[in-house]
Amino acid sequence: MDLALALAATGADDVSDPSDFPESFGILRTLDRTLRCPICKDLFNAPVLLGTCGHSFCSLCIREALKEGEKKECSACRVPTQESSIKKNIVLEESVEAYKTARSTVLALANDTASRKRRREDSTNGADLTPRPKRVKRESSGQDVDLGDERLEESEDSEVEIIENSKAPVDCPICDQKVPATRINAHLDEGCPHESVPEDKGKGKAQWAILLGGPGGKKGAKGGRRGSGRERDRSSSPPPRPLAKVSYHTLSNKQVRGLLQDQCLSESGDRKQWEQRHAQWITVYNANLDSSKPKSVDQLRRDLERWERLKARDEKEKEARVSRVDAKGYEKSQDEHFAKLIAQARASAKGNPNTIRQGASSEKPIEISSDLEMEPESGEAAQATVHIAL
Amino acid sequence: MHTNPTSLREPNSKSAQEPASSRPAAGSVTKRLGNELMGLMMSGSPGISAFPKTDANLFDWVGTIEGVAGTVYDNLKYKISIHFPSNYPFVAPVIRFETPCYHPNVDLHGNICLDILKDKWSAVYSVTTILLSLQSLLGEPNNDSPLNTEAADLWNNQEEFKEQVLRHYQPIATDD
Repeated sequence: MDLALALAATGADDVSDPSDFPESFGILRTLDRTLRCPICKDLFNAPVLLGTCGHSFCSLCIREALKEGEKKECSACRVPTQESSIKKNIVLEESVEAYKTARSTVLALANDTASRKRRREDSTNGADLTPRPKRVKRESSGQDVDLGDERLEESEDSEVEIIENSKAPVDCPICDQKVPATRINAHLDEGCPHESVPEDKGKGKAQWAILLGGPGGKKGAKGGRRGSGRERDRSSSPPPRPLAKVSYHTLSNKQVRGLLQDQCLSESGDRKQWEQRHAQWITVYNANLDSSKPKSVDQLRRDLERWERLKARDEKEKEARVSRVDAKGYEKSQDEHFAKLIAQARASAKGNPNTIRQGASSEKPIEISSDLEMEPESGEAAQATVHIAL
Repeated sequence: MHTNPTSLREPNSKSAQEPASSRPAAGSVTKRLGNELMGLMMSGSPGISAFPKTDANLFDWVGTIEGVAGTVYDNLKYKISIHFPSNYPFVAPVIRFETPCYHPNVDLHGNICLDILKDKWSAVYSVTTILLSLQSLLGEPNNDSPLNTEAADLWNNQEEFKEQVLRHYQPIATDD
């Protein structure tokens, strides 16, 4: 079996891992590892901090862990906690976003250096080895870092070139704006917002004026949003508030349906499904608020539907599994017992001709034995029959 | 089962060409499982391995655990099955020994009594941590809460215990 094929089959081909970095760059592996959520093992998405212990997770990850887990405790250190201790971790989010943008470049540089070093070693050893194939990482933006073999043939100064290029503005393939190369991934992610490239001193001055514009600066902030800025202009509408948790057992069916209607959620299924659907909605909705790039409410509703489909499939599978395992296990464990009963019944039928006369027909004991084999759960009844036979 | 890590990297561009529509709608769970698979292949921890049973379903895996040298399970290879629920990793996976295992904390059907698979489960654990825990459980059973009481009683007599282990053991059939 092939890892890449297995991953492709499951749609998880954009999986990234600290081991993407070459072994000689252990420091980069460590850096990559520290910027990952301990629950989903992916780079942090809307990271939050638990005020009770200080550990950080993706907002959705820790909210689900607190909802699904038996105890309300930190997944990393088991210190008791609750959802009200969840706080946005803005600095971490900014770091991770910056890292996500830089990762492909860093990875390319590291791989390039590693392969060049290996080539040098190979040539000194006189060995004729093909260069190790590179794993080209697909970032969330879908931007491939082209690491074709041509680069291997390039001269030593290709490194410098990459660094220079990363500072220079490039044309966005979609909106044709000039965007700094370091910013292009994030720019595409955000759907091509207006970018300002500091081209000359005069323009830079104007931007400082906008940033330092004092009370009037709010208006200017829209135009002055720098590439790396994370602040959203939310002055037009108040920030949405998190939804409160509900204790469903005190509510009537009608009230629960009302809750679903308030959130424009489906009312299909039974009461248990309504409650689960609403509780999950609160979790994903509140987690979404912790992100600086929140998804649309429609997108969240689609996510919720997908979650429910997966859950339904899983429950069906679980049922099938339980019934299958039980029947098999029972048959196996009782096999010896059944065989003994059958042998007993046969022996007594042979040894004591009276029982045949007492029974309805001479074939009876044999019939019992076939019953035993086919329906293990009728063992008790069969035992009673054997008693009569004895 | 043992795939060379460098050869794994090559066909990645192929997977990138997969049409998005062919992907099952599972999202974060499959992503996390993909992450774990990658981590497991890359970490190369000695004596443990795991892989999805089929390409189509990432929720059912088979794994192997090798007994650690210096224990009665030295040189023995055990096959286990791993099933991930849809709300993994918030709920522990279901794990069973497929190879018969004579051990105080494993019953005759392969069910395992291990706290981190039950009430002590945490979402930060992974297949790798589970396999490592099981590997160490083999050599260090918890005899206070046995599933197989006979094995727990016999543990102090290591020579006889090893005899029982070998009597129950069946080598993994190499079907590929």
